[in-house]
Amino acid sequence: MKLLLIEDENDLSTIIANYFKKMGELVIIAQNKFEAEDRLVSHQFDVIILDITLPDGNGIDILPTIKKTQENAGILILSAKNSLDDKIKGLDLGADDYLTKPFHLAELNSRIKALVRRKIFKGADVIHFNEINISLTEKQAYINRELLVLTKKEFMLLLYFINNTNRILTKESIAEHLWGEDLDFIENYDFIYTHIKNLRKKILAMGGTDYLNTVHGIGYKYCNV
Amino acid sequence: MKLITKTNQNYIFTILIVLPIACFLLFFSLKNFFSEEVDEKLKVDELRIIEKLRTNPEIISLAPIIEVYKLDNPIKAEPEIKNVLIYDPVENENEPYRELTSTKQINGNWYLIKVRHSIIENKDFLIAIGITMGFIMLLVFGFLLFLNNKLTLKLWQPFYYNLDKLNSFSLNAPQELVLIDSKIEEFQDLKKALITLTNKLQKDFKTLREFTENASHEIQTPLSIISIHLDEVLQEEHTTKTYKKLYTCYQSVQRLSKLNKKLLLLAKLDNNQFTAKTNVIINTLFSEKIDELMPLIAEKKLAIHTINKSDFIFDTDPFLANILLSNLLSNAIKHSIPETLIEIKITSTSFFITNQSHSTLSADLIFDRFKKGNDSNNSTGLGLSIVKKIAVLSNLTIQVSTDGPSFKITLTKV
Repeated sequence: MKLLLIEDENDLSTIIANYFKKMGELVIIAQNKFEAEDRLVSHQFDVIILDITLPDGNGIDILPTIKKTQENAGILILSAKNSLDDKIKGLDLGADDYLTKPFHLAELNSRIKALVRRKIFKGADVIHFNEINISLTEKQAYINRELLVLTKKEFMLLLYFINNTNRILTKESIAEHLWGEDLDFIENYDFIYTHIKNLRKKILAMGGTDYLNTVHGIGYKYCNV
Repeated sequence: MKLITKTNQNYIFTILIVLPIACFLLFFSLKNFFSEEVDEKLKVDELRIIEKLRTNPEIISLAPIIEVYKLDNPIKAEPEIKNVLIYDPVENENEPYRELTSTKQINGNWYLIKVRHSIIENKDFLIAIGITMGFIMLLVFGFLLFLNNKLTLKLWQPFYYNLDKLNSFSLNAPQELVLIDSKIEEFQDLKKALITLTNKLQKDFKTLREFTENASHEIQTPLSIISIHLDEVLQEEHTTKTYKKLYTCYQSVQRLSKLNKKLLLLAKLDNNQFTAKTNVIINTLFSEKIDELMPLIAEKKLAIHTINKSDFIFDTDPFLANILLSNLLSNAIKHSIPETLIEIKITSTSFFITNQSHSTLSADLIFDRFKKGNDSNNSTGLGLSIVKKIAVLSNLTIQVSTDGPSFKITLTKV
């Protein structure tokens, strides 16, 4: 997968690039509008991560160029402004998703994966993880081809884990993924435990393997062992 | 007190003081003038009588006006003028008279001549003056009052107009304050001063809001960097001690970023950046939110009881309505004592949410930014400020009441 990261903050672009490179993706960084347009003309990308605030202009203004040069690319807007106007404008101009800073890398990864599946693997929307199959159009999970009955949140949880295997997912990041960022319930994330317990039970009952490891006090890790 | 009432009051006071003084002045000057006049007249009368006695020695008497006595023993006496009281049988009372007494030798005979002239009693005189003056003053006062009130209203009209404008002026408003001109210099000065002041205030307020918003935006990127780096570091192997420290840092960064997002939201609310209006039905939104927050409710073993009397529909930005209910509900859940009841009641004009809590925060501080109850050290203390701000923007009044452990927030349509 080829990824263009348009982001002027060096620290941020490096860490995001390293994160995706580690997963074997090809990442190209553009630090400003000019560089971005240059890259867009000469390369074809699968995913474009676009920061709105760039030193030489508004990132939203690049969207028409992206639409013209990149036929199939999925576009995710990254913004420090949680502005509804920007969001609507961005989505209107052809962006596929919108994520506000600060964000969790796991969240960014999940969104990018969803984007790629939607845009690039059209139709082939089944995720395989050993004995677990997840159909994104049906929003159903199967274990050894048998339907695993999950609630909406449990389904989201399983997908989030499978999208971010071998990575510690903090309780904060899980809660934010499941319930959005608008909620003011920072004090205690232990309620996630109930969901995870139920998910575990259901998978085990269907004869599935429990890939979920509890990382002491911090969160959970889905390991492919 | 209104200026016009005060002016009128001053008029009345002035008249109450001036009127008696004027009456007395008038009384003494008139009295003096009259008595001089009377004295002269008495002397003229006396001369006439003397004339008459010269040609006709027959004694004329017309009591009490004229009395002439023939004297047997000639006594030379100086003419004397004095006030006397003489009984008047017609009116059956003593009447005051001015009396000129003199002795005169006419044709060899001595006569005692008394000439009198009726004068007005002091009391009657004073009353007459008082009544006349009072009447005149009343007339003048009435006329002045009428004129003054008419004139003042016209003169002050620009002032009242500008005052109305000023009252309805909001610092948040995008447009400048527009005041009307007046021909009165003082009003014109006031107008200029007010315009300068409000323009400056508006500018400062705008700068402040922009600063808050810009600061929040600027903080987002470094926060992202810290958060992502910490997330990466947490993926690596560490000793338990280091792990704990790293996780504490991570949690603090998360908290900071939530806080920052809320400040940004408040800044946006202050800047009136939410202008979309849709009919929002609170009832359905509440049940959606309750479903969403069910794990939190279950975690604390809370019971939730919703009474839908009828639909509460109001006009607001749907995004704000969402935040409003999320905040109200998570606030109630957060501060609830475990295993208690959260009650929601919705009618067509108002809705309330009640929970049982140990919080000691007093009701009038509850909406202040960064005020927290004693039971939640980790909260940002901004949730209810946001709730209040949204309520105000959506034309809802918000009310908080406590009854022992029971804490109730009511929102009512204005």
